[in-house]
Amino acid sequence: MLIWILRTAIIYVVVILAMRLMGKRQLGELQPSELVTTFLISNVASICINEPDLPLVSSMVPIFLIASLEVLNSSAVWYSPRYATLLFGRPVTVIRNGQICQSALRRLRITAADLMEALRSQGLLTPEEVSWGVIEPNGTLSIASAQEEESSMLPLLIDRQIYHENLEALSLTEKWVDEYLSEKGLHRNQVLLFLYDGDESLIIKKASRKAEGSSGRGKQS
Amino acid sequence: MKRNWYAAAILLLLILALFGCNDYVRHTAQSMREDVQLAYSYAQQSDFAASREAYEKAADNAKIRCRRLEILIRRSLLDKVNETMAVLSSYAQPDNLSDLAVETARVNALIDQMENSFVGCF
Repeated sequence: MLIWILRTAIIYVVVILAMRLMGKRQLGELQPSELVTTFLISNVASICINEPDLPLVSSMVPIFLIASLEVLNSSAVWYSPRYATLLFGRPVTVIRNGQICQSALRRLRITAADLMEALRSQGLLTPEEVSWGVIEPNGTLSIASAQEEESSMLPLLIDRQIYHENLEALSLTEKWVDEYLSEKGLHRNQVLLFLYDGDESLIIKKASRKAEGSSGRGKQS
Repeated sequence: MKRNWYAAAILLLLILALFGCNDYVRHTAQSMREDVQLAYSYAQQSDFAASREAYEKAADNAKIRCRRLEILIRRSLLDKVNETMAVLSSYAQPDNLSDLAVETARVNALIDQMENSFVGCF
């Protein structure tokens, strides 16, 4: 019995260290790869507690290995937006101007009932009350209410990744994005975030390591 | 990005520890085999007193080594090795040579299993 108590205490400390190593990212809303990591760590940790026959390192080594790989993987995601898209997927618009995008629902294999349930959980009863609804890569529904006075800004460019869906919704092209940015004296690679609603834009430049990031709101003339 | 360095350091440590443990397990298994082989060679030369003593010493050494190996290898495998080692000296009798040969082969196979459980791939 003593060995179980000791092993459980050691594994408890090891799992906390591993979660601490992975950082706060692991404690928030989980992306697919992070969910896998969390499942794996919990399973590997329980093996050694349930089976005192196994050496303690058979849990400790995989826990630290998984945690280290997760840290390196999340850094690779930070450095490469393409890799991030590959790993996590992209947000998909399912409601635009009160209209359900049925093709998107089919692609995501989300039924209308699921969508209505997600809407109700946000305190809305009909799609007409939504100006823009997006299924995020972690599976949650984010919405902009149609009742809000300001029109919702759509992301056109996030960290080198163009959102073609939103460009189409605003009847714009990739070329327009480049031209718009060059008017502001910027290149696509210098922009962290570019939001646009057909009238106003919000551009946040990438910060250098030393300098803070700067952002600017502008009105389309 | 300190975390990256921590992660890389942990990976490096794990790799080094794995290689170190790999060598340790191989070396320990080899020493156990040599102890058993020495004891068996005494029996083959009909020096049964020396053989019994060598088997007992081999069993004692195995017990100490297995205690260290417990952090690396499944305990049931180590228990089997110790159990078999403990009875070997009783077989070192002039009229039990064939049984001794069988038990010595068994303990060698158990040591191989123990080694492969850590060193083997997949």
